[in-house]
Amino acid sequence: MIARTTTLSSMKTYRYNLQRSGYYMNRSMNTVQTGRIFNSFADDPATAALSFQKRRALLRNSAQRSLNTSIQYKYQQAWKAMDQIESNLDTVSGNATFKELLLKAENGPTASARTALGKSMTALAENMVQTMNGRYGENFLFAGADGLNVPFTWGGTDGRDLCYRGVPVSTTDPDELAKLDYFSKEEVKNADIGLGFDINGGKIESSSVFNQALQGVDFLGGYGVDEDGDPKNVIAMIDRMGTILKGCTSDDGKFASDAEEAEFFRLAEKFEGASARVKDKYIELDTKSGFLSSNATILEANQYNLQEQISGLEDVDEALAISDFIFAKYTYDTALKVGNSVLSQSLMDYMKL
Amino acid sequence: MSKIGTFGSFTQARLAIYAAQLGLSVTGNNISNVNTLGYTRQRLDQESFRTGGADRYQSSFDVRVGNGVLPTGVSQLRDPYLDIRFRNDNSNVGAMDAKLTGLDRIAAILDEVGKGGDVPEGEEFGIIAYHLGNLFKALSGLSDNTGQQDYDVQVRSAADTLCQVLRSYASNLSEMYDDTVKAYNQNITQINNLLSNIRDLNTAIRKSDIHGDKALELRDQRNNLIDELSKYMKIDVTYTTEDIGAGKTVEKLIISLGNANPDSSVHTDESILVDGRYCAQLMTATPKLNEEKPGDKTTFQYMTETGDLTNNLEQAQMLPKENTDEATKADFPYIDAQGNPVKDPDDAYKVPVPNPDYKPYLDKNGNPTADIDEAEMIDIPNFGLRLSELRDEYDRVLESVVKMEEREISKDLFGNGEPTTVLLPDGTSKYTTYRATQQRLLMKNDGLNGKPIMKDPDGNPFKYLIKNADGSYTGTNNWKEASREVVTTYYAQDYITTPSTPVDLDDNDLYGALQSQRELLTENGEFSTLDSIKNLDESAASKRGIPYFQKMLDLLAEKIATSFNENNQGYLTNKDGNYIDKDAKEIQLAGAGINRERGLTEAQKQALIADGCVDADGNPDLDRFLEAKDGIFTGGNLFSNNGDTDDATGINASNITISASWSRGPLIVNSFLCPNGDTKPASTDSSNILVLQGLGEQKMVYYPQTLVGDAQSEPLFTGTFEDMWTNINTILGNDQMITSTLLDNYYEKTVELDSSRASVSSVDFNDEAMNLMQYAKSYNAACRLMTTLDSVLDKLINGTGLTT
Repeated sequence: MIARTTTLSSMKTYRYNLQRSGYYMNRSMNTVQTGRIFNSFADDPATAALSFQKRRALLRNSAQRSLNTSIQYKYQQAWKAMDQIESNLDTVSGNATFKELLLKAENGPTASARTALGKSMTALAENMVQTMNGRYGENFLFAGADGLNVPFTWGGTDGRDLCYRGVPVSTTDPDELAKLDYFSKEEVKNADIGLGFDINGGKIESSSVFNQALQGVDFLGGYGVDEDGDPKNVIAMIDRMGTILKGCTSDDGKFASDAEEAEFFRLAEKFEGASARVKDKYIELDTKSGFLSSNATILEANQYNLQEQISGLEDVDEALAISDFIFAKYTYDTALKVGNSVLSQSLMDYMKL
Repeated sequence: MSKIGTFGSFTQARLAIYAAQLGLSVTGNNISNVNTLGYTRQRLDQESFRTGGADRYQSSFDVRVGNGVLPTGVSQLRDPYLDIRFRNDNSNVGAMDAKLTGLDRIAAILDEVGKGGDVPEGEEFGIIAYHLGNLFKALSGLSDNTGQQDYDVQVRSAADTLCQVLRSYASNLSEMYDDTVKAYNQNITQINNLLSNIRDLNTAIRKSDIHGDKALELRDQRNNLIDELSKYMKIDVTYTTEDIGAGKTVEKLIISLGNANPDSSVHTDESILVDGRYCAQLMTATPKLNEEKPGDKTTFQYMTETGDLTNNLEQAQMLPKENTDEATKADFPYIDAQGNPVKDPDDAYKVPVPNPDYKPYLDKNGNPTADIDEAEMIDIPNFGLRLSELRDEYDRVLESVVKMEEREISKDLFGNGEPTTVLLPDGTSKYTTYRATQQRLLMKNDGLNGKPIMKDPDGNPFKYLIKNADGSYTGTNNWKEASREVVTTYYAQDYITTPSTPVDLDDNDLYGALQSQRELLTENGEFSTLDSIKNLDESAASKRGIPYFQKMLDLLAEKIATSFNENNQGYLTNKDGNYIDKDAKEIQLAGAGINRERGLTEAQKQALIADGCVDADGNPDLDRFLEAKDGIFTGGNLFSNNGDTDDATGINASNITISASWSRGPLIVNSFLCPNGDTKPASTDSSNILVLQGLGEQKMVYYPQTLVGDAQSEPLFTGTFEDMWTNINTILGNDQMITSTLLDNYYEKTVELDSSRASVSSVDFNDEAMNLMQYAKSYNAACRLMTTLDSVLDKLINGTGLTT
């Protein structure tokens, strides 16, 4: 026996099918309009979760890029300062009087200029300190992790004792030296610039971060004194040499004492080595800047990569979405048309009594 | 040969016209109701009409012809099996629909896909997700610009916004919870209305049935209501018959809960909702009980032998239950467990001596009362439900009566033969009627009623007795000689009447829209207490309602607050990580420094304990020690439970806020590490900011016990804050997806079944057109028959035997 298909049962089935056609059309229309494969977690929980993960990575990447750029600028600034320092050193070593002095020519043609050179050298030392006390933004460039406080100051009884963060750079006090050691070798100011930032048991993995601290004391040839008791730091050396030269007689350029003379020549001899150490640091800074630059490229590549991945996860294939919508609309239109004919005729319309 | 009256055939034609007219009327009714919801198409039932019985001497040539047609009634065309299947599936649809509606509403709050705008950088995708990310981005900025207040303000603003969003989500969830409670209560009212209406229709149908009317339209109405009820709860519908006396029975409809509880030992899931003219009502509240209070005599049920009060049945004085029936209590002062009067108190049922002052309920003013109607009604915990007793439209409680087998009783128990009513110990009552029969029987040699046992010379007892004139007895085995005596036999007929009682429904007795809504309000998922898993619902840990998502959000907020607070306070250390005092000297304990990262050594722990430096639990209290040793404390709580204080206890999504101290100015600890000789960290040292930043990368372990002490001890999730947030949404999304798929399947099946029902029961224009034609033609043919008969009779009367 064939099942009865009554007016009401046809209507019910039709209504249900029409609702479904309408629902699918609406859904595909949403897909076309939003351009997104899923519009809620319920549409595709796994992909939605993955998408959020990727977006988090993108946000992190954005923070890392911004930090990397900031550090890059800071290093550029530092590089400029070091360039200045290097040129200052060249000014000293290229000075005719200084050269002549190095030849130890007694009463040479420039002997009378020694005092002037001395003044110029102490002034240069002052300038170098000012350069090393330069700022990037609100922070002092070469202050290590103490960026809010000026790193280099003049201290001591005669006001000619160069101090780094309050510690004389040419100190012989073991406690003070330990402080300088800490600044130079241990103190860090780490930054997450996309090197796999990781914290293990509350301790930051040093390899996963970038130490952006620039310790001024490291950039000036060294700290403390050598075996002769002479400063290792170029500014201290220049300042001391300048002070000794300032003590020379103005007419024949004689040193105030033999000890000072010996000291001057010791320092002048060591100056070359100290300058070389400063240059090494300058090159090291350049290398680090280069690293930051290449890291910026990597971060940017990551950004594009992530954006592409997100797009792959979220964005619809427009052609597919539109053809789906057209098909759904076609089905819906057909359903409407069918409805019109399903409900139009029955035997009632043909009865003739 | 049987004859037919001259005008008999006119009756035939007339009946045919009536039947056709009636047929047209039924067809017309069907056509009129084509759009009436739940209308079942009707059909005219008719039979061939035949008069007269068999003749006493019937000729073999006799031909009997029927006398036309008789309409015998109108019936409905309906398939009860399809009704059952439809209603079963309808409860599935109701369950999934209500669940999905709830989950969709939760998702409208929590699901952030596509929310927050979409920009090429993707920075604004999501809201909580974005603000969480933003907090860490701001920390990244601060790590680069440490010590600068505007960057600290940025972090604080990001944290403040995150708190506001969390609070807003929690508030929305709470609002949704309240709305769902309202909807739940409305649905209970709706269900109670449905049950009352079905009961009232049952009463009306029963009345009609008694008077011979099938009340088809009322049945349609009732079917509609049952269909609607089946959406709310799984039900079983059975049609039985009810004996109304005089050999007549009428139909009785019984609706019971549909055995939805997976626990087969539970039977409350088969409780009756509607029993003919009686129906139960769902109750969400119970009378407030007068809890036991020492010294309050109204709170004790029983009295002990010493006259003290107790609620312990074992301590109560037990006395035999007294017989209250006037007719028998003189001889049988007690009642046994079956309600029978007994003499011996040892045989009696023992009942505790009640405390006359006992008042089990409290009224709305908090005063004890013994009247349940005066008691204050309080909500059943956990949105539990109770089914009331079955009551009719006049509020009378249904009493089911079971007729026991008639039993023979002794004359003593017969009393005066009047019916008696006894309340049985189990709360039922026994109504007993008595009857006695008298018979003249052969006098048996049974030694009863003062008769002696007579024996023959061999010592064997005789079968019968002869009663002599002097009152003595003689034995005999010949029944013909035996005397006759009148023997009275007493019988009792018991009717056990059990009144319908309220039923407390088990947690899983219902299935359908109501239960889904209830689960949305009660289910805690992994936060369920072990007690509720054990005693209420074994699968409670896998069911997730609004409270689950609220607690997940609370847990996330708590974890964010706790992690940040813990990492933003403590004592300063030297470069080696050992705590220092205000003079920058390393604090010594057990001959060594105390390292912040590594914590206390075993020797140091022992030293603290030995010094009595312990917390309330007896564990070493390092903070106390450091404070005593002039350690330098820095930092504080970044998040609190209240914007006016720094109190961090009980932080959840509803109350999380940035602390009062932080809102007043910078509070983030840059670093705990001081360069040697210093008592403060370097001004831009950002090591601790990086640690705070690292919290965003750290996989945290989330325990349900953090919020619910008695919940499972295993962690429910391990991951970063953002992972946890995504996890909440993934769980919700999965639940939605599964529920939606099930709803789709169930709905499609229901539509199919409804269409099948409509195929059987609904009106079809083609059918009715055929009926119209058929009955119209029948009508015409009957008229033609009448014309023919008229013509024939005209010939017979007016044209026969006449000559012209």
